[in-house]
Amino acid sequence: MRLLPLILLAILTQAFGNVMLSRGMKEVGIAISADLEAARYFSVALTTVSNPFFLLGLVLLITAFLLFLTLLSRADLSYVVPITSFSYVLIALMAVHLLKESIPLTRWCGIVCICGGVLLVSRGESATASKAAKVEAGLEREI
Amino acid sequence: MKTVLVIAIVILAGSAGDILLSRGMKQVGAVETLQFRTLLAIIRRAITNPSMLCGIASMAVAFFSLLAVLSWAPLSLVSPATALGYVLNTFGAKFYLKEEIDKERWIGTLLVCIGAAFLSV
Repeated sequence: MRLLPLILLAILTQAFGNVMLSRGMKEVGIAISADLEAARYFSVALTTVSNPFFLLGLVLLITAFLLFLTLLSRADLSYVVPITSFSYVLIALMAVHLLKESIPLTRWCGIVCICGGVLLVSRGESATASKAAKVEAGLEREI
Repeated sequence: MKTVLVIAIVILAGSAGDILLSRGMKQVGAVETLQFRTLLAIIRRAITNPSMLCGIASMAVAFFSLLAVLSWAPLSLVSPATALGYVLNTFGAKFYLKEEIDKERWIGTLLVCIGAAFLSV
């Protein structure tokens, strides 16, 4: 599989996972404060793990981590980490629609900075090894 | 003082975790197929690789330190500070993993770091 689909999938699962987890935990918070008895002992854990949004978020985040490892097996750490930070932008944008949060000016600045950073990093070679191979191939051609 | 120290642990352990996982996955080998038997072999190598195990342990330290510091310090202080991890990661990638990092990637990483800090204020 090529790198780009993996990167996109890692970003999407990371972002959706966090949004789902946040939504699930908010429901858990409401459920617990509505019934203080439920906040005791195992009830909190039970309320949490029986929440569908929490479970979906957890599965998505585990998937995101496995995809992150897959990316690391093939590309530079200094490439993968900044690129996948694009999920922050998605989270900020999704938070408006799904979680009904508002975006203040500082956050818009952050979104613009991250987009610029991701653009710059993505222009480079994804792995030092493949770059070295290309340089070598170029040298061989010259000889 | 205690807050600064624990935030430093969060950042250091987080970056160390990323760097070790990266080293480990490169030792384990490129994941390029969805073939079940190949994947199983890769998983077996990954969970027995010392770098991977140290990386995951380091991540766990970072996560629990984060939970600890969040119990007394405000999120709006802790979260932007952890964005420094991007820069630290890149230093680790350069000096420990010997990755080649050109000027464009440095500027891009700095922008992402600043952006992540802004987003979490």
